[in-house]
This record gives sequence, structure tokens and C-alpha cells, in this order.
Amino acid sequence: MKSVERFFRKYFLSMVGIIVLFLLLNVVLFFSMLIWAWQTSTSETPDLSVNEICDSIMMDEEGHFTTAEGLSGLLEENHAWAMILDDAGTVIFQSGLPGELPRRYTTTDVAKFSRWYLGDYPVYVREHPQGLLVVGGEKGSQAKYYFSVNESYVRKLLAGLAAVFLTNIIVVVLLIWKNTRHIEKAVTPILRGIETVSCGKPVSLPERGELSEINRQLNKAGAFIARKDTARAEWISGVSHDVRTPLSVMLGFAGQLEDDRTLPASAREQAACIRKQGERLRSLISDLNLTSRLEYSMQPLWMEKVYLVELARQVVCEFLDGGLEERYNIEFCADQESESVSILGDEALLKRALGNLIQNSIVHNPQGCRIAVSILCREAGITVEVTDDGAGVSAEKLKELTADHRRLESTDEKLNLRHGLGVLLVRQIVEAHKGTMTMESAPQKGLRTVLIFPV
Amino acid sequence: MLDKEILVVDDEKDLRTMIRSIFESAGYTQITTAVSGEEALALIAKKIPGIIILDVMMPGMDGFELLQEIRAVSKVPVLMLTAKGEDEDRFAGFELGADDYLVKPFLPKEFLLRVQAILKRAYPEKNRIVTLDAAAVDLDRAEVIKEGQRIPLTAKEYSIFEKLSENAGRIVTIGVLCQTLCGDIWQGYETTLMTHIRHLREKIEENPSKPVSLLTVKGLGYKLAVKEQEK
Repeated sequence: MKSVERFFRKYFLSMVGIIVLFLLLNVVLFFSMLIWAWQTSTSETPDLSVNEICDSIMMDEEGHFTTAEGLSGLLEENHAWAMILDDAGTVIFQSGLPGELPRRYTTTDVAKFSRWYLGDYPVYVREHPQGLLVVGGEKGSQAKYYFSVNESYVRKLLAGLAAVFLTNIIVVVLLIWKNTRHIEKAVTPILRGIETVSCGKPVSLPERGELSEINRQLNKAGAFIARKDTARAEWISGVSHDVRTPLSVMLGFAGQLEDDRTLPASAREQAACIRKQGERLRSLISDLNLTSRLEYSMQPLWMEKVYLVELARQVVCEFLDGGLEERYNIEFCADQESESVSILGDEALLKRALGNLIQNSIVHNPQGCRIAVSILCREAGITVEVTDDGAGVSAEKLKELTADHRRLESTDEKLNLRHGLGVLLVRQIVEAHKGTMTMESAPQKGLRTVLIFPV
Repeated sequence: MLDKEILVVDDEKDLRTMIRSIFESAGYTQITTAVSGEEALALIAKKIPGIIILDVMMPGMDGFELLQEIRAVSKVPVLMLTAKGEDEDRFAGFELGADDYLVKPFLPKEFLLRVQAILKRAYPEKNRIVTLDAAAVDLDRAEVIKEGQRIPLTAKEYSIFEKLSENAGRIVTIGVLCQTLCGDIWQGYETTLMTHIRHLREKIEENPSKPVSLLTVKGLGYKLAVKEQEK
């Protein structure tokens, strides 16, 4: 589930990132717009030329105004005009002054137009050696504002703006977070459900909320898979059940023919062969049945206190008493501490596991071998070790045997379970007891299987 | 033992034939068969057999129902044959009073061993004398007869010996013997067991340090070698 959490964390961070990016973009755009507007409009403002105009109007010694060359042309080009007022408010110089404007101004007039407009003409004033230079632009060409604000008001305004900005950011981030949490809450059970289904376990998600439809379908899928699995396990169980009686009859008669001393030796050998193969078939069927039942959790575990040493003794004795052939030799050893150690387990299944391991060594070493069974108390738990000095297996086969994939999935379409069904069963039983199983082998170096059960 | 009447109840003809032939080749003489629960009940009503071999899965009255009917009238030993392994009825028959059960498919040897064990338990022999290499043991009187002398066995020695002789020729594990000695909580009694075994050997072996009858199977348990003449 780590990946899901990571996904939502990433999602949340990316949303916040998007907002930050969005803000930055706006700031950049705003400033570039300001720069663009300023750059494209400055040439038209007469402000630049007011100083020039001021400098280009001079008075000679005789009291006549002279203007620099081209002033009137420049003014005309810009639809502008200029005049100079003396201290009394009388126009003593003008160039292009519109006729509708008066030629005399009171102090009040001057105060008004220097701030605002003169008869709708935007005007600019400068001090001139001879009086007050007034330059007027075209009507509607300039916007004039006059600000006078309290300083603390400005400060508060700026602080307020910052606060508004910050609040906005926080609210947006919180909303994104809440939204993400909401989606996460709705989606996580679904993802968990998918994970559960992929493990082949049944799911049951609550079928309400906005995504109830998906939950319902997931539940359906889980139930469907479970039904199929159960059907398969039941089918295997049914087949193995039906095979039992015929096999009993076969084994029974073959065993009797084998023991019938009136028969020729060759016939008895053949009967022995039938009996042995019949026994193989018997263990194959019960392994297949049990492994499918364990796989689909249909096998109830009868957990009780189990002393592994005694259990192993009984299993080994069954082999020794059951007519083990001369070429096989089973040794048993247990250390002192393990004697009194018990685990919680299913006795019948554990016996089956150990029996399978010993049987495995016998079946795969027809030339005979020595098998050692030892029970030892270790740090990690109680270990059951089955070692033989027989043919061993190749690295490739060992990998196949120890591969930890889902058991029945590993079979191909033809249900090819020739390889190590017995070993698979041992692994399942060990796992059902929360234990671990390791195998070591090399060709001609024997096979060593270690089962460790936590105490 | 061989003259005990045996009733085999199974709907499968071949299985009945097979079981009959297992018994016959083992020397049993009184074997009757029934194909259904109803037929079996009719036979039992006439005469109660020495042991009944009962298949669980039968059309009509199944093995469990039949067992209940039988238990209503008799305590005759019953061995049940079941085709279901390792699962649900592990083993429902015990509650109903079956003496033992065997999962199909079984081997003739295994089958005979179970039947013999049940018969031994159900019909203990009189004058049970176990003949060993250097001595004989009178189980009824708990005495060892060695070189004409009668040596009594202690209660513990007797229980160990009885267990070993019941399983003569087979290994009896240390755990099983300790359990016989001190009940279900037996861990830690291994040395006590060894002491009793030593005493037992002193009584039954000619040379206790080189036992030939009560054999040690290293790490596993003990085995009693019995002379075959015992009847």
C-alpha cells in the first residue's frame, strides 16, 4: 500500500505546485504588462517635452519672447499648446492656445488646473523665469489623478493586501488537501480490495458512498474468483474421493498377490510393482487434494500443543516399522533443549510434512541413501532438518522447488504437477504454521531441507 | 482369534471380495458379508459377530447411521472404512463409538494390523505369556519367568512391558512410553524411563548390558523382540 500513499502525497504536492506556479505566472504577467504599457505610451506623453518647451521659450533683452525653432511645429504635431502666465495671471506668451480658453486666470483657476484640467485640456505646469509655463495636451489624451492619502492608511492597506493574499493561499492549500484526503478515503479501500483479490482472497467492501458501484463490482469479482477456486478444490476433492475405493481394491489384491507364496517369483514381483505404483498414486492423490484445500483455505487447522521431537520420532518409526528397504537408512537425533519445546500446530499436517520430506528422499534415490532427521533448538525457533546423501537436484530444479509463487498457478494448463507436489505441500503446511522452509542441494551432494518453526 | 466371526459391510462387491481374501489368507475362517446397512442389521439381529468392518459411504443407510443402530444393541468392536481423508470427519465415527477407522485406500498389511489390534483389545487372551529370548513374561500375574524363577514386575515396569508387547516387533517411541508411565504431561521423564528400562532388562535379559529382547532404537525408542511360538 506504500505506492498508494506515495501517489496521493505526490498528487497533493503537485496540486499545491500548480497553485504556486499559477500565482508566479500572474505576477510575471502583471509586471510585464506594466512594463509594456509604460514603454509603449511614454513617447506620447508630453511630459518629456515640457522641460524642452520650457527651455526653448526665452525672453530677449527687449522683453520679447523668442522661441526655439520648430517649437510651434512640435506643439502642433502633438496637438498641444503652451502659454506663460505672469504673476498677475495674465497670458504673456502663448503658442497654439485654443480660442475658447481665457487669456486671464485667477489664483483659484491656476490652483485648479494645475491639479486637474483646464477646460478639459490636460495641462502641465512648470516654473519659467518669466512666470508660469502651462503646456496643454489634446483633450482626452491624458488621465490625471491626484492622490493624497494618510500614511498609516497606506501601511494598513499594504498589510491587509498581504494578509488577504496569504489567507487565499492557505485556504486554497487546505481545500486541496481536504479534497485529496476525500479522494484518498474513497479510493484506498478499492485499491486494497484489488490487492486482496489479486492475492486470491475474498473481499467485502462496504457498498455505499459515491464509489459504491465500483465496490460492488469488486466484491462480485472477489466472490466470483473465490467461487471458482472453491469449485476447483471441490472438484479435486471429489475426484480424489472417487478414486479411493477402486485404488483400495487394486492395492489390496496386489498386496495379496505379492505375498502369495504359491505364485512364481516373477508374478509376485509384478504384483509388488503394481502395489508400489498404487501407493504412489495414493500419496499423489492425497497430496493433490490437501494442497488444493490448503491453497484455498478450505482445510481447517486443528491447532494444539505439539512436541516436534516426539512427532518426528513417530514419523521416523512409521518408516522404520513399515518395511523400509535395506538400502535406506534413517538416523534420528534431537538435542536436549528441543525435547521439551512445544509449538502450536496441527499434528496430522506436521506429520504429513515430515513424512513427505523423508518419502521424497526415498523416492528420488532408488539406489538407496542415508537420511538424517534432526530436531534442534535454535535462536530462530525449533528446526526440523532432513538431510540425505543421495543424488541431489540440479540448481535449476532446486530453484523451481523453492520458488515462492502461488502453487496452483504454477501449473500449466494441463495441470502438470509432476514436479515436487509433495514439496509444495510441505511448504504450505510450514507456512500455515508461520514457519520457513529452505532447501539446499547440488547434484550428487544430497538434499538438505530445513524447516524452522517459531516457538 | 482366527475363529472370531467377522462381518464386512460394503456396497462395493470388489471391495468385499478383496477384504474377504485378505482375511482368508491371514487365516480367518468365519467371514460374512453384507451389501447394505439393512442387511447387516438383519444379520446382527440373528447373531452378533466378533468384529464389524463398516464402510461409511453406502447408499441408503450410511455407515454412521448403521453404527448408531449397532451401538443401540451391542458393544461389538467396529472398524470403519472412510473415503474421506484428512478433513471434516476426523473422525465423526469416534463420537458414535467406532473403535478405529482407516482411510481408503489402505494396504492389506495396515488393515490386518488394525483389525488384530482391535481384537486383542476387545478379547484379551487368558494366560497371556510373552516368550522372550532368555525369559517369559506372564502378563496376567505380572511376573517374569526366568531360569525357573518367578520375578515380580513393579507396576511401572509392567505398564512399560505391556505397551512394548502390544506393539511387539515395532518401535515404541520414548514419548509414548513416558506417556504410559506418567500420563499426558510426560516431558522430562526420559531419564526415569531409562531407569525403568534398565531394571526391566535386568529381569528379562540374560545379559542386561547386551540386550537381545528389549532393544534400544537410538534416539527414537525401544522395541521388543518376541519369540513367535506365543499363541
